[in-house]
Amino acid sequence: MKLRILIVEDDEVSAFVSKTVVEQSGYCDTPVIVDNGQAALDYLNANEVDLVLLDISMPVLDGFQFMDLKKTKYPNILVPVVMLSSSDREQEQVLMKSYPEILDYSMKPLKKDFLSSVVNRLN
Amino acid sequence: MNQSTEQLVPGLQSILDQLICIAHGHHDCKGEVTGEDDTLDAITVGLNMLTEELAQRELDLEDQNRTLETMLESVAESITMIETEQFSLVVANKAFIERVTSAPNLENDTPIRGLTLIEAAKKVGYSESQVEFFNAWIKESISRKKRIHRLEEFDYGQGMRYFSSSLTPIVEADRVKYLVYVSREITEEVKSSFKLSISESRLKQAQRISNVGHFNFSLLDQSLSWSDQLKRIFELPEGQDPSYEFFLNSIAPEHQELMNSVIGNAIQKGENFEVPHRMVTPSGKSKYLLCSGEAIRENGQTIAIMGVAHEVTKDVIAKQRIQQQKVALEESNRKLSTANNRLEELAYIASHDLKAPLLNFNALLEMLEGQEELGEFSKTLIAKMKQSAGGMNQTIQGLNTVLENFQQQEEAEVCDIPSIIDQVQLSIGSLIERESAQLNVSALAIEKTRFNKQRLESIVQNLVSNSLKYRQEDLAPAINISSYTKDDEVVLEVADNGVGIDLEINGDRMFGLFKRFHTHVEGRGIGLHMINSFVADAGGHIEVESEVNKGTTFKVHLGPESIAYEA
Repeated sequence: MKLRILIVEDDEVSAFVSKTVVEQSGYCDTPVIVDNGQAALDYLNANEVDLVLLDISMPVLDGFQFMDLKKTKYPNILVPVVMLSSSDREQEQVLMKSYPEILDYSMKPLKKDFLSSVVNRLN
Repeated sequence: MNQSTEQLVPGLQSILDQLICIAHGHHDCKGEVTGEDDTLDAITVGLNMLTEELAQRELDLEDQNRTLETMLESVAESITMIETEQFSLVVANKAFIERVTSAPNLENDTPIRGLTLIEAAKKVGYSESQVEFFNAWIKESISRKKRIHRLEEFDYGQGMRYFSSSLTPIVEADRVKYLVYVSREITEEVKSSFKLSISESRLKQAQRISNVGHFNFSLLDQSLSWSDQLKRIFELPEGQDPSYEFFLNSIAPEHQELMNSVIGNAIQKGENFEVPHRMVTPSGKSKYLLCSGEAIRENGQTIAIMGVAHEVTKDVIAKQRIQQQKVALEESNRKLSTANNRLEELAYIASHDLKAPLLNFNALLEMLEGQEELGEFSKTLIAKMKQSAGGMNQTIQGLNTVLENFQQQEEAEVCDIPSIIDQVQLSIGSLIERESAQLNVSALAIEKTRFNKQRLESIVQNLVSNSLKYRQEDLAPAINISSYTKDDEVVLEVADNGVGIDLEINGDRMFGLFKRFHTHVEGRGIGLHMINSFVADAGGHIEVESEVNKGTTFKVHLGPESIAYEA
C-alpha cells in the first residue's frame, strides 16, 4: 500500500534528497513538498496525508511553530509527524523530546532504514 | 619690753610700773603700797606673780607651737619658712621634706632645716634655671612685700610634677624678715586639664579631617552657634555670625523646602532628622551634606536643636562615578550579551547552516555511489570527495564543540583530580589501550581543586589525547600526570615522551584556533585553543616545555580560585 507523504523542507537539495529516499523506498511514488510550516498546515487542512517529514529550521513557520499551531489551531489534524534535523545540538534534541506527539526524529539526511522503521510503526 | 611682749602678756606692764614706782620710793604711785617692808613684800609678790605668769605664758606658747607644728605636719601642702638674712630654711614641714627628699639627687640623710635655699636647691639637684627662677621669685616677693603665686614644674625622675606655690613675706619694721613658702601639688589636675585640652584639640582635628561640623540652635534666645569646621564647610565669611537665614540661603534650591520642613517638624513635633542635601557656598561651590539634628525638649517644648553636618561631597561624587561605571558596565554587559548571542548564532550556523549542505552533499555522493554504471575513475573521485567532506564535517563539529563549551556555565566547584583522570581514562580507554600507553598518576600531591568540572575533564582529556596522538613511532607513550601548588594556584602537569614541538617556531601560535603542528596525524587544532581559553577564563595560564623527539610538558596553572578547594 502506498502512503501519502508530505515533505516540509525549505532547502531544495535536502528536499530532493528526502524525496529521492522516499521514492526509492517504494512507500510513496510522488511525495508532496512544501517549503514552510504554514504551507504544510494549509495543505494538511485540505488534504489527507499519512506521514509528515518535517524540517525544523524554515522561514514563515518553523518546525516547532508548526507543531504548536497544529495543536492549538488545527486540532483535527492528527497526522503522524517525523522531525528531521541537521543539528545535533542538545538544545534542539531536548526541545524535540518535549513534543510527545512527534512520532520520531532523526538527523538529516533521511535514511532508508529510518524511514522503514517509521512506516512499520504506522501500520 | 617691746610691743610684742606686751601683746603676749597683757597686764605685765602694769605690774612692772608698780615695781618701778616702789624701787624709786614714789608713794604717789597707783596701788596700796605705803611702807618699805610692805614694798619688799609687794615686790616679792609681784615678782612671784610675774614669774608664774611668765611660766604660764611659756607653757601656752609651747602649746601653741605644738599645735602649730601639728597643723604644719598634718597639711598636704609643703610649707617652709625662709629667713631673709642667709636665706636658710628655719621651718620645713613633713610634706616639704618628703617632697624635697623624693628628689632623685638627694641623699636620704641630708638635713633640710638650716640649709640655705641655694644649698638646698643645689643638693636637690635643681638646674641653674630653676635656681634662677626661685631667686627671681624671692626678690619679687621681697621687693613688692606681697604674696606671689607661681606654677612650678619639676622632674623628680618619674615624670613631670606640677605645683601651685606661693611665697608670702612676713614683714617686721617695714622689712621682710621671713618668707613663707606654701606649695600644693596639682600634677593630676594639670594632666587632666592637659588631656582635656588634647581631647578638645583632637575633636577639632577629627571634625576637620572627617569634615563634620556641629551646630546648636537655641530657640529660647534664637541664637545659632556653629563649630569652626561647620563655618569652614559653609564658608561663613570671616567675622560674620551664623544665622538661620544664611544657613537656609546656602541650601540648594531643590532641598530648601525639605530642610524647612524637617526643621519645622523638629521645632513643632520634636522630631529628629537626618537629611542628605546639597548646598551652595557663597563662592558658588556645590557641596553635599548629611545633616542630622536632634530636638532638645523641655516640658513638651523644643528648646533647642543640636546636630552635626557631615560633608559627604567626595562620597557622593564617588557614588556618582560608581553609578556611571555601573551604567558603563551594564552597557558592556549588554554588548557582551549581544556578542554572546551572535556567538550562539554562529554556533547555530556552524551546526546547521554549514552542516546541512554537507550532509546533503554526503547523501548525494552516496546516491551517486549507488549508480551501477560508474567507472573506476569516477569511483576514485567520489571517494576523494567523501574524504574531503569528512574533513570538513570534523572541522564543523570541532568548531561547534568550542562554541558549545564557551556557552557552558562557568561555575567552579570542588573537583577530585583522581576521579577526573579516571573519567578521562574511561572515555578514551580504547585509545590508551590501542597505543599501549602507560598513564602514571602517582605524583598527585594535590587531589582537590576548585574549577569547572566539565572543563577540567576536557583539559585532561585533550592533553592526554594529544600525548597519545603525537607519540613517537617506536616508543610506547608514557604519560605522567602530577599536581602540586605553586604561587597559590593548583598546577596540573601532563608530561609525555612524544614527538615534542619546536617551541621556537610554534611557541607563539601554540594556542591559536585551527593551529596544527604535525601533519602525520589527524587533528583539528581546536583542543589547545579551547583548554587555553578555559584556563584563561579562570585567571590561570599554561606553561609549555618541549623538546623535539623528547617530549612535551604542559603545566596548567588553574587560577587563583583553584586553591580554595577546602572552602
